[in-house]
Amino acid sequence: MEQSRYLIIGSGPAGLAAVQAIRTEDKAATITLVTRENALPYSPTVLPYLISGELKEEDLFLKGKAILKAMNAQILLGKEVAEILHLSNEVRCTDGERIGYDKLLISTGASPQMPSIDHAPTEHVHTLRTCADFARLSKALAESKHIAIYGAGLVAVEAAEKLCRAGHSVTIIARSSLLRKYFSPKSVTALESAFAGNGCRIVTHNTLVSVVRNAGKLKLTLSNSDKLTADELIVATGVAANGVTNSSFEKTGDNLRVGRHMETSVPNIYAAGDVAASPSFFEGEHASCAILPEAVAQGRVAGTNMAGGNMEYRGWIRCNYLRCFEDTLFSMGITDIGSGPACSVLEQSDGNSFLRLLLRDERIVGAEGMNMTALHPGIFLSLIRDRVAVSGQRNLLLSKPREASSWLMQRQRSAQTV
Amino acid sequence: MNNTLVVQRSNCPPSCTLCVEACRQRDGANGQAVIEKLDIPELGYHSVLTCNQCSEAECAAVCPTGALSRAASGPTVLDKALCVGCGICNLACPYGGVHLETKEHKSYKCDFCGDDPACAKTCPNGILEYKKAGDIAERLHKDVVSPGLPYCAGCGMELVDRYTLRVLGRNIVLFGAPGCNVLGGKARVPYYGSLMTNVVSSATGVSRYFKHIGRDTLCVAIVGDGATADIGFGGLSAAAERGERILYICYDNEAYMNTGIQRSSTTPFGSWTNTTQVGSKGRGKQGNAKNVPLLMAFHNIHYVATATLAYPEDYMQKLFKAREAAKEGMAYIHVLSPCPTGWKSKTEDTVEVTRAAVETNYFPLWEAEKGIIKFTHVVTNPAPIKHFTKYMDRFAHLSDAEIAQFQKRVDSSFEQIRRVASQS
Repeated sequence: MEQSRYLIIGSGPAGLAAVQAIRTEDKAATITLVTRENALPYSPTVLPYLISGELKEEDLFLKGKAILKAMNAQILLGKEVAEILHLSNEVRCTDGERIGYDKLLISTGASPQMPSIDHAPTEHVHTLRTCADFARLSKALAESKHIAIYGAGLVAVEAAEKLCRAGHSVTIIARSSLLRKYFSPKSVTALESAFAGNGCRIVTHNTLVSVVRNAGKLKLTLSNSDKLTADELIVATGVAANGVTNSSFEKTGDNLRVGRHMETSVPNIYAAGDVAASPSFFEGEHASCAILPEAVAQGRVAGTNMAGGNMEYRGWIRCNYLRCFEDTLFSMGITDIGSGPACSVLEQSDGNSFLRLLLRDERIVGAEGMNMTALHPGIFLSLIRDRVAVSGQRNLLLSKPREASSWLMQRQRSAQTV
Repeated sequence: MNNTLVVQRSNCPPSCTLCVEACRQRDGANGQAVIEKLDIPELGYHSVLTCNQCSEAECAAVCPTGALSRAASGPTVLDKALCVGCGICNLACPYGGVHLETKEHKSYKCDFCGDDPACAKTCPNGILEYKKAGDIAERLHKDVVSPGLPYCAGCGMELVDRYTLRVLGRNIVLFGAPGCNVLGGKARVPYYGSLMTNVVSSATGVSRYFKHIGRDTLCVAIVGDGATADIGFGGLSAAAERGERILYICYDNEAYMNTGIQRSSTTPFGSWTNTTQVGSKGRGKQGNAKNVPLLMAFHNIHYVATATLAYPEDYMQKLFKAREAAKEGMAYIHVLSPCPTGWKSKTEDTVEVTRAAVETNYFPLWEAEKGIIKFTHVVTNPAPIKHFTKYMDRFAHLSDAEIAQFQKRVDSSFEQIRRVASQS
């Protein structure tokens, strides 16, 4: 039986961040990554950019390759873990092989969740989560086609934009409205008109009832009985954790519940990234926060603690960044004033740009911006994380958001360093 | 260690945008600057915002393609070909170091213009300064005092030690007594930890041995005021009388600070210490301080001088002279070195309080070569003593009448030196 001091299942951003953190603490021990994919590590975040050619396919793996080499970690490709045998500190793979570990990280990510659609064929229906998904989609997109996208989250919207730019005819089918969970109606309206201006059709408040392939085309039927025809269908209605079947783990839904050290309820086993249900920054409730910066932060915390360090996870804050056609949007923290304790809202708009800040107890708890290109969203995020009081400068934050946010940040940083 | 763009925390001039203009003109800038000016007249805040060049850069950690990475010379650089413009770096960076390339859907950031930032070259205000790691390493290597401080915050002794050892070089042996400034293990030269009573005798013995074997290494004693003015004074006076070839530096913080702020004979009039309490009866130390440098000058030794932190060039000149003098006979330098803990002064005022000491004639700067005294810094309009005492809470209790009395004592002490100086 092979034995690795550190074993990591899944080679996404959380797994790679863990590798780097482990190496900071432990220079010599073996680190092994196991991935069921037949591909070197990459970030699924940038798959849409392969569609538009903004990223070359071979460049997808550069970062992962460099990290594995620099950190002296080995990777087993095309190997899927079937079972975690936590009592004997080993995993069993689908090919029967067993690998022992001292510390195990589960960073298996998530997979697209297929909604129930009547008669849906497997041919010409796609998801976009792995590079194998992209390879399959890419073959289908060799010529200009009509593509239907079912779903209205970030993956759906980014894919739609890249496909539009690549000259395909695109229809988005949204169960409610576009990016409802991420941005306020004002931004969404602007985005919808940008899509319309680029020849993309958006059907909102409809579910996809059935898909039938007929005469070389997909015939789509919506819940309002409308019918659509498309060459290819991309389903992007959300993801579900690639969890584990072992019932010893405490779970929140499908996700593995972890504490502030990213430790699961099972000794010597940690979880990070989309598969983990970790505490949030504001209320500490356990949920998955499937965004790249949090995957990296969680992987770093898990890796450090696996190697004997002591690092606490500061809790996730949802944040999003989107460049869509000519618009740039960001949102972070609490954006829905309906939820939780009362917030006050500061809002400023000018033409096609706007900024909206949510304050609670004179501290920024949420921010959303559209086309505020001079602003650094990261500064607002740091003000939220550091719980910086706005010091009676509410008006300045609206009239000079770039200057005022930078001033608050710099003042906070100097207070920390002195 | 990496090259660094140092941004001073002081305010920029409100209207100045020279750094931003220079940045816009850099190679490949496309008219977009990666340093921003922040002007908030409402708050009187004028500063700049640019990449922090973090050693563990969050932007690079989250970059999904590896477009952001650390260059060998220090900065985090962006490979434009790999950047897809996802903007996650701009979301992750808490310092505002990443910018949006609006036309190309890319990010961009400061890369120190290769290794020569245009902004730092342009800044006329000393706010932006590019520091090369090689230069810093070389300077640290040259510095005889090792990095790290064993002192209280704001103590003047780090500066005194660094100036002293920088000028004197490595061909020395240090001698010290129990006190705040024990340099054992903190300097890259031999240090002999002696006692308050016999530190000067120890230096004398080694110096004589060096002469015997024909070695030109200088023996330097760095000793506090308690050991110098009180406990070791007999030995010091005797060594001066014999004309021993040593350099004796007294760092005067005007009390036994290391043992808990007890008065010494250099504690000035009116000063609070733990043994000259202020209360219903006590009003701080009564009587004058012992003027040790003047006493040493009256020994007619080869060289005597006073020095302090606000006048480093003056101190360095005196060290050069003392080093030469100690080849023939004894040299003595009396350095006023503030102790924020015992003086109850603000740590940031350490240098300013010594300037005030000189500007009020409380601590005049002079030197005596073979008994001939002359001022090395003449104060034309001496400030009242309150200009000195205001920095320190050890004098906070002094009434106007006591201040007037203090002023008289300062005047007469200065007059004493002035008379000797003009006669010689």
